[in-house]
Amino acid sequence: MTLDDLKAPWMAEVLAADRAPSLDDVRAEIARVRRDTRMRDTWLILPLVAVAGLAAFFNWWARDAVSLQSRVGVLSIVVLAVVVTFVLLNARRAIAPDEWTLRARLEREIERLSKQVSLLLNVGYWLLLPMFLVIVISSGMGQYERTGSYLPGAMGWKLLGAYVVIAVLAYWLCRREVTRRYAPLLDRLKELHSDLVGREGRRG
Amino acid sequence: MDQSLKTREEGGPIQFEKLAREHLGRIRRIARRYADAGAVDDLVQDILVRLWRSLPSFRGEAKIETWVYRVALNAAMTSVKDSVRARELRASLTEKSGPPQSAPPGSSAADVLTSFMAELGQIDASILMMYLDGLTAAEMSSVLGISDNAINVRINRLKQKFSETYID
Repeated sequence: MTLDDLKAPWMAEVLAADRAPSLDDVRAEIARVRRDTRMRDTWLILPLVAVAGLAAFFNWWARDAVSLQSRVGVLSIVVLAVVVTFVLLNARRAIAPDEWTLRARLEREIERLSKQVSLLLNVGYWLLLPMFLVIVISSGMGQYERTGSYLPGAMGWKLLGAYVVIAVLAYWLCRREVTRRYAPLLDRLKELHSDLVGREGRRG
Repeated sequence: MDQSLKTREEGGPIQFEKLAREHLGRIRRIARRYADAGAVDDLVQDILVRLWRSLPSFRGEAKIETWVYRVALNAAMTSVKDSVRARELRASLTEKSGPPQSAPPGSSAADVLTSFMAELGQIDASILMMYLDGLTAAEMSSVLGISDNAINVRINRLKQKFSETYID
């Protein structure tokens, strides 16, 4: 028996109408995909709308603020909101089309997952630490306007402590997500890519 | 068979159903290789949805089988929907049960096909499927994104492996 002798059973399996196509299910799935796409687009727009709203609100709120300190606090909040929105939208770029070659698609998926892993591992640098600084700056500026001192009161210290606890928890959850979900997927795709390109890829 | 898809503007849904009916056997066979027994139907449906989604970009320049393979293999191998736990479970079951057993002497060609397919890695299995389906090295290259030469080398290795295992 040779490998070509398997062509007949293969074609028999391919041509066998073992079950009628469940096109009703496919139609329902297609409708669901359409709905999901609309929802995804909506969710994509929401952060932008929120940032614009936030900027407009603080602009209005700080219209009478005469001190430089207040303006710095407001500006830091808006800048953080814009930067975070940009980082998140950049990481949510669409996945590669289904009709790409397997190699191109694997490479795009690996790139996309690597970015997400990097985003989650560095959440402290692009979100938690800047947010902490913004909270300290804006609350300090507000405190100075009210009391003439930058040091927070008892409630301020409690709020800062609560933020630190939440930030540590968020950091831990992000690392857990990487370990449990993204890293194994990334390893699997890299393994597949390596199997696909083999020596050809290593030469390139 | 493929001509209707070249003029897709004439009516999408009917043409898609025609495509789905004509290639369902192929899609189901691909899904059987890449999904667990209980997840074959889900993968078939996923592939059909992706075919529907990418139908507008199909220009009819390539053979329809080539395009079906491209979309189906992409769905089967790069889908990140599959949960890690399911994959871990599958891997541990494979480890416990050991490597797939070769079909015993006297088995039918269909059994040999199933057995040989199970012995292969994901990429080699895809090449075997396309080879048995009559795709040329150039067509397989356009599905996988590697050179014709690399495809031919792998086909020769498959033939060698097959003859070593199932030689009369």
